[in-house]
Amino acid sequence: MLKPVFDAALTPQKRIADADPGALFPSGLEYNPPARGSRNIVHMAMKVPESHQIYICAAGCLRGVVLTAAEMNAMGRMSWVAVREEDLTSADLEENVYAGTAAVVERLDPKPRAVFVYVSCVHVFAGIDFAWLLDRLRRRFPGIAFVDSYMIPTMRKSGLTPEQLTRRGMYQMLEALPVDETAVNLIGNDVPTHRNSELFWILERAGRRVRDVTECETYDEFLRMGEAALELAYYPPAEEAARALASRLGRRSLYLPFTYEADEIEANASALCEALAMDPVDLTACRERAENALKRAREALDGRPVVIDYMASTRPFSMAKLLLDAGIRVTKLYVDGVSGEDLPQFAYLKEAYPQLLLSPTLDPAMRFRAENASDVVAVGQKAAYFENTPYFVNMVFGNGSFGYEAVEYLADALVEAANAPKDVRRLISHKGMGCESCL
Amino acid sequence: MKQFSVNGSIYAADTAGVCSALYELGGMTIVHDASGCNSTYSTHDEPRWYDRESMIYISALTERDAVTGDDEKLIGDVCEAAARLKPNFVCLCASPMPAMIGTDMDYIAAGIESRTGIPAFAVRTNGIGTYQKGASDAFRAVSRRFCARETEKTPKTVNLLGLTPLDLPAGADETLKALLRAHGYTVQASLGMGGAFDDLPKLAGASVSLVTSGCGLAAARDLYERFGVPYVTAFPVYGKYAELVCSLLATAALTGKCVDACTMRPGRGVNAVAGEGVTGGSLAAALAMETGEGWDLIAPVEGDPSPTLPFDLRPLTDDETRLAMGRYERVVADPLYAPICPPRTKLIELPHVAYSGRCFLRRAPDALTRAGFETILESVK
Repeated sequence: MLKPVFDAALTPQKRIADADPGALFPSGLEYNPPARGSRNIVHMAMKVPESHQIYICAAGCLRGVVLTAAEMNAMGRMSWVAVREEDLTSADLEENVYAGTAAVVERLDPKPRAVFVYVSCVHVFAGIDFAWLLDRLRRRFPGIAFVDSYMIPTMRKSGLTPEQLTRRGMYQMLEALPVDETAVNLIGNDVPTHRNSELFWILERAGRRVRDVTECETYDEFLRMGEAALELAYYPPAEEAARALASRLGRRSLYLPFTYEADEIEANASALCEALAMDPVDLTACRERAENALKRAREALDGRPVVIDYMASTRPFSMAKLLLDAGIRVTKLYVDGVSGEDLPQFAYLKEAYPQLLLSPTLDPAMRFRAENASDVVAVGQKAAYFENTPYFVNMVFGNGSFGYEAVEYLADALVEAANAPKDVRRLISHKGMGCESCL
Repeated sequence: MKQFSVNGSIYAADTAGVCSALYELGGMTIVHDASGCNSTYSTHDEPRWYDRESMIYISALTERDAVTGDDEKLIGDVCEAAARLKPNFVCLCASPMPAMIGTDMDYIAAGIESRTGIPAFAVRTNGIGTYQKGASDAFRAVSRRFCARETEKTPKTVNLLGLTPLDLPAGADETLKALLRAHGYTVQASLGMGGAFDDLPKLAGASVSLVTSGCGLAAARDLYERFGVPYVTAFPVYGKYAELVCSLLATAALTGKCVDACTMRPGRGVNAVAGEGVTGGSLAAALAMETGEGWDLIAPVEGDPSPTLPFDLRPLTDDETRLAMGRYERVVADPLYAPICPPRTKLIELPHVAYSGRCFLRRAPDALTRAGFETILESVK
């Protein structure tokens, strides 16, 4: 057996004081830790009820998406067409995609209401005419909405990521229905937003009803999202989806970036109130609840070190700032980069807490994690794995929390995590947290 | 239309086969790919990922790298990581994009070896081939590279070849060692689970090889051709069949002739096992011995090099597999074959990691053990 060679010197861990936010760690070979809670394109598109996914890819790419569907007991909504070796140099690439997709759809019984047709890097690299191809499919199967979809990780740094493209594509079949001014769409989320967040409180106070694909049970219910007057997003990868949908349907869109910063939370609330043409709301009670929860967390943790990973939240630096300023001993962040939204918090932490450690998750040396179990309290699955601690907050991108409620939720979760060890392996092996799993 | 599937699964790809084969040898295996190959492999194809450390990485290929053909980036990244982590060797394999743009993986491997002094080689993959091809080529590559010299044969020693968890139960290496020990053999070297880099030169000195899956055949043939190590092709399912296999090991060692024990089955039956050729054929043989009924093999893995009988079936598409399964009353196959198996045929579920990944690992009986094989026997009654 390979002997563990974990050595801090091998891993480019560094103090935030020494870190450049534009290049936290050198890029190179990448390791993939066994934390599977994040949702991928299959999980996302499955949110559209009565839809089907067809992937046209090489076996290696198909395997991951097919087994994602299998693990979520959704193989009945997944089909594929294999790219063969001869296809790589074939002039008939488009014809093969068309014929394969059509052959699959012919056999689907009952026919799905929508089909996500996923092509791969080789198709995009070869310059496939996807619009022409989908047009043919729409003419042949007029009752089905075909959505151009992309599994193109090679192009992940060349524009919108496959995740962003899928979130945008999920709403492509919505048509502009007569506007219902009382309806607001929550766009691009993987899980329902907490009903006790101030987002819902404000919307309800304004007499608005919320529609969210994560809570639609039928395709017809989903299509009614076309009535909404406002497309609202707070999850960064969903911003483009909300903007594109609003632009296409002639609606307004509003992006309220997820944050743990009090001033940003207040600014989000103000922006929402303005968009809803209502008077500003007073969030003092929400803020006080959050502050009290943080005090409880500080007491429960009693100086125990806390580590955070980037998969727990889109704003790990904002989270770290919140906790450190509340007197909670955050010692390390597992991050491979800094998002633009988190840059001010990065700068603040660099100045105020220069000893805070940053560690990559992708670096090859991360294969060799801590051998001895620790009592560190981790926020996020990757942090729990790397620190080898059973005390962790099982959170993937906020778990549907928002605003001051997100602060309260995090603080309460820390208290719970500090007191109750969890079965890390079982929990983090579950692919797509919140999705059904056959494991 | 070429291969497609409605609601069916797909076998693990060649890149996963390479990674799985080399997992325990202390090397560094890099899939030249953007991101998905390693995630898929480590999630679905590799049951050892959580517990056992191995240096399997991706190159994080980007569109820019592909457009500019920037091989130097890959060479530099591998050299940097290898300098820090000091692997026993470096193995490279390619996903569809590098295959499409014609990346010269052999050239890159040579560059890495010349700069680091660490043995480096490429296994030819494209993310399109099956895991069997990838694993098979990887096993043969390390065997040829690190077992170059003939050594004196040690009596009653066995090479275990082709033990990947894609086809065999976790812990199969220990079960097989115990079986062989009970019959007076010791394991000389292993390719796959339980393998050790330092044992690779000893492959040439075994008196016989046991090829437990089709993934081990190419290496077995190579060892036979270069060093005269005969092999027995069989997955020694518990009971009478395992006893037969152990006796055939003695015969092969004595005569120097290779034996395909996975085809030692009676003529065409009304039942079949669908799956990888050596493990599936061996299970069919064991079921035939225990039940007195005929059991055939349906071998749906494209290009499966395993020996088969004339009446065994090699379907290439889901439609052909459906037709093949329809010929039988009962078929033992992975649960994800349910949408393909016709209603008139009884599907007896036996999970196969190479097809369904980790979906059913918890309820997969280990046919090498008494309890596991009895569970299978009970299910086919």
